[in-house]
Amino acid sequence: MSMLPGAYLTTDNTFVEETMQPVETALEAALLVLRNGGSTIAADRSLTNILKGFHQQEVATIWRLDFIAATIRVENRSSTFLRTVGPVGVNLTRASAATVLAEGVAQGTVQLAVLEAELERIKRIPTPYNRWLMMLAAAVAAGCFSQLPGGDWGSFGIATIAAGAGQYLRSDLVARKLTARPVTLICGVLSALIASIGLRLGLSQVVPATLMASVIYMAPGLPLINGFVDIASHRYMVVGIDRILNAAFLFLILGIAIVFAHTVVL
Amino acid sequence: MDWPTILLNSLWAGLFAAGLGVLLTAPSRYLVRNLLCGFVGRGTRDICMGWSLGQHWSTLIAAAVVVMVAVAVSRRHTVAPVVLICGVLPLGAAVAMFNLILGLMRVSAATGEALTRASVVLTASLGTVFTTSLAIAIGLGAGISIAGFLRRDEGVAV
Repeated sequence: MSMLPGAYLTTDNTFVEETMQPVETALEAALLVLRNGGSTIAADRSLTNILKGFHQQEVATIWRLDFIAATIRVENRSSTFLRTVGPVGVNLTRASAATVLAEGVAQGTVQLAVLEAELERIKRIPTPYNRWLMMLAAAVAAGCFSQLPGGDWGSFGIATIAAGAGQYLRSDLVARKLTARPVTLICGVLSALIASIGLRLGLSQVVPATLMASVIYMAPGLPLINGFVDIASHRYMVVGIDRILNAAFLFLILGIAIVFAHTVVL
Repeated sequence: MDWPTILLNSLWAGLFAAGLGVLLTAPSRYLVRNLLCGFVGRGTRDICMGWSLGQHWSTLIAAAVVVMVAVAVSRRHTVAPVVLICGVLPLGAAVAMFNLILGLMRVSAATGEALTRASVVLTASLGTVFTTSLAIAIGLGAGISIAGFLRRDEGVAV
């Protein structure tokens, strides 16, 4: 058996690399959860469950939104694994599949031999809904949301069209690998402009509800709630604060988009 | 109490929650749960407000109810955060956040008497965002604790 760079022999001639492989796999599963919009608690639980499946639980971890560090101690020597998280997207089907897989490993219903192949399969799971369905969902969500702060049927129609068009552009920009901030700004401006034109044409008199609803499909609810959950757990305070600040920044971008469109058109 | 309006608003909130679930790429099995949590959450909030309870107490109770409904309809002992997100977003935190940001924009552009008025509105919006978010956070925490107590043999986690 060949040794990887950095691996060393223990006194009983077993490769430490073999001891470390479970940690690598567990980190891979945890990263899969984090990178696809899962909470830090879910990522940590996945890591713990996979290590449990390997009967290895003496691993210390540090969680950040930009990296995960795991330290393992074997034969009085400690090794630390550092894995960068990278851009965080949203595919909760993948995050959910990774969590379920890890639970299966802990319960012994998933064989360890197929674990890596399963992780690779989960990484390739596409977005469960196609572009048109997402567009429809954004339109319906925006239309329904416009009614909650007191919108009328005019604001329902305006918000529906504005959000649908914005989501269509968003899918296009995401496919071009643009990051969340420019995507939020560009789509926010487009949706708010359409909504402002509708208001200018007199289709509705309820200005705040219409403008807010037109961009609600981009509200960063996922990082906000994940951040709250992280902070409430008292174990991932830094990740939680990071997520909430990111969400607040995206809200600010949406606010700028609304004010820009409102100033230009109205 | 205006029951038709409460029912209609709850329906809008439920549909909004289901639509948001699709946007957040939640697995399809979660969409009905999202709809239910959105419907029940908003309904609870509006009913509580109809009983003359304050907006923040109503939001707190509604957030706790959202968690309990999410736990009740979940087969496993973990509650998916996406169900909670979609359930609590119609409770008013997003509207309060937008009002705050718009207030911030107005303050930066206003002068004289308008600046004073805008500052007061901004301070009020900031307070609303803080108290609404806090009410939701406490409500979620309370809901998880209550559900954990009721299902103490299995435990409940997010």
